[in-house]
Amino acid sequence: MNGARALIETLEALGVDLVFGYPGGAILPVYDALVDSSLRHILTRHEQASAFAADAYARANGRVGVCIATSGPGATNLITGIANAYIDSVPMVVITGQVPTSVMGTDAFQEVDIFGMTMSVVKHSFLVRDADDIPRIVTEAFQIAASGRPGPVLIDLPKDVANAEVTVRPTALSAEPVDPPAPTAEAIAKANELLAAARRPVLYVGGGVVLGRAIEPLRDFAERTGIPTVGTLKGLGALPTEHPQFLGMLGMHGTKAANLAVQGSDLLICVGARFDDRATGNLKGFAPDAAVIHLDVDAAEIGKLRKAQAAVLGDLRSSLPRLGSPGDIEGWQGYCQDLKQTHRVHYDAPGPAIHAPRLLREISMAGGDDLIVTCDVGQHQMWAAQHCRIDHPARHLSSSGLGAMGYGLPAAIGAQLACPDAAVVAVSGDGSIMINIQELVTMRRYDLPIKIVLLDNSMLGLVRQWQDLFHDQRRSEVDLSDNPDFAAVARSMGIEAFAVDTADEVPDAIERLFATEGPVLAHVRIDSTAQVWPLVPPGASNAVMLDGA
Amino acid sequence: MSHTIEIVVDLREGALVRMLGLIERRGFMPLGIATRPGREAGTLNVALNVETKGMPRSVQVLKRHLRKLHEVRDVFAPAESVPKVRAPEPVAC
Repeated sequence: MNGARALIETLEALGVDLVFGYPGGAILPVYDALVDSSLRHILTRHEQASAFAADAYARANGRVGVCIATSGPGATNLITGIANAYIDSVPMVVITGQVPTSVMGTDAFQEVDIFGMTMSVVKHSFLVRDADDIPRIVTEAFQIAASGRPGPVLIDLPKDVANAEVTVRPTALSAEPVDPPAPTAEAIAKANELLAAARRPVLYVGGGVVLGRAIEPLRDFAERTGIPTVGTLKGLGALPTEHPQFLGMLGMHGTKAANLAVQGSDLLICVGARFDDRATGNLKGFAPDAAVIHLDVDAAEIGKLRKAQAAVLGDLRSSLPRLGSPGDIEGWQGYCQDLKQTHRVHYDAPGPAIHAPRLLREISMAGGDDLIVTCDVGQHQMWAAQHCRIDHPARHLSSSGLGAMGYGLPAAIGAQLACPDAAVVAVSGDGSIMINIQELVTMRRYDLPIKIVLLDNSMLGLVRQWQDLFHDQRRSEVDLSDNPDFAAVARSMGIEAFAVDTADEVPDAIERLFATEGPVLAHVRIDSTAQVWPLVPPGASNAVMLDGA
Repeated sequence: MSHTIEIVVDLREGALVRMLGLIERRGFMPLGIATRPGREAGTLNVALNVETKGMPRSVQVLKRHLRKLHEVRDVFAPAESVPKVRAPEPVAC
């Protein structure tokens, strides 16, 4: 058995059944070994899409995503996807071919130092020098990727090592993630002291809740205490967005209710979030009167940006049930409900133009309980976050930290393969969809019944919005009025497509989307001047929200 | 402000580069570095003198970041009276 075969057998032994990838020269031995393997390989049409699809596969079903590419350009094309998984803490194992060890360091054909290039965007990385190490390294990679705060792990495999004979058989392997430790009694006691004294607490929930498999303890805590709750982009759905206690997303495009509640709070209970600048706005002005209880599995997040008066480090499943309750917060709860009511969204935009927020909300309501929404990046991404019904973070897949345009279509592929029975809607924009539009072919190739909602404003809409608001309307390279006929492009790749131009066509369009058995694209033309509101200007406090009024 | 950090690290491919890259990326400039073999075979003791670049950053937070590296076995950093944590100014973009 050679190294490549050992790699594939190790993946099989670890329970992997599906990988995403794109073949090439240095990774040929691995693709040769795949021929006799039980692994299902999904051929994307660009390596970046392989990485994004593996990322979404992991987010949707909680398993480790796997992607494979060759050396040189194959490997470099993965980097955006690796960075995306790193910033959003997604468990992923990335396997790259490398030129033979004898020519490494000689600028050989398709040689790049992917091990060095990716150091700052991986949780860990391995360069395999000895084929006998392959079973151990692959097992370690899976364990590292999934343990604690998850993240991507790179395995760079030189071609000669892949071809070398191995003497160690990959049997009886286990890469069970290591559970994080429980928090200390002292930390819990300090947190409970702060909780008992709080009169205006807010629960600030991030993506760490789903990564830590702590959705149920989080919901139990929220409902037991009745504390008003806000979520980050990645935390949406930890408490269902329709839950009465949920005030909305906080931050730059958060709801007024969420931001005003946070600003007025006397205690922030931060669960699996990291005080990201998109959530906090100007950090000095963020929740200025609040003490902080910070619950996280990653010690490096605590005190990184905001001092925590109580640092509860460890497994959220252990810490959340041990938290007590605040004092009398009835008045505060009423105030927060008033905020929610006063600043509720209105979906009754007049005129024949399609109101994107309403469209997205109606799609999310029509899609059923298991609906998964994947997003690209831009205005449509923020509208989806603001207006879609989201019942679980694993059903709202968005490139949150990196903000990588091009995520939406490959993410939908990963999500649909992870959850074959779920309806998957990919929300994209006319800018974003062009980044990975070739993946329409992948959807057709594997007959994935993904519903694509393309919101086309013939603009890089969010950039245009910022140029209008913060650059004196000096529009620079945002006009996309020379877009192709997207429906025709989709049809050329075997995807059913139709146009939606006016609001009165929307009900039929939604019905058609969900009634179509295969992949389908709705090309929705929207007003090119539509804005995302509210908006906290860059550098401002979250108390300063523009709303277009 | 400068600090001396001592790190015990496994001698694996890329370990030093990974460590130094993290230190720089997290806002510290290495001013001096001294290494000697660790007590255990295959380990290295690294003494680093680092200085915060630009905004003050917490050396304790840096220590916790370093501890997350898989080659790093231990990190010793001077205790800070109060971690100097400040808002990035201006906000990124």
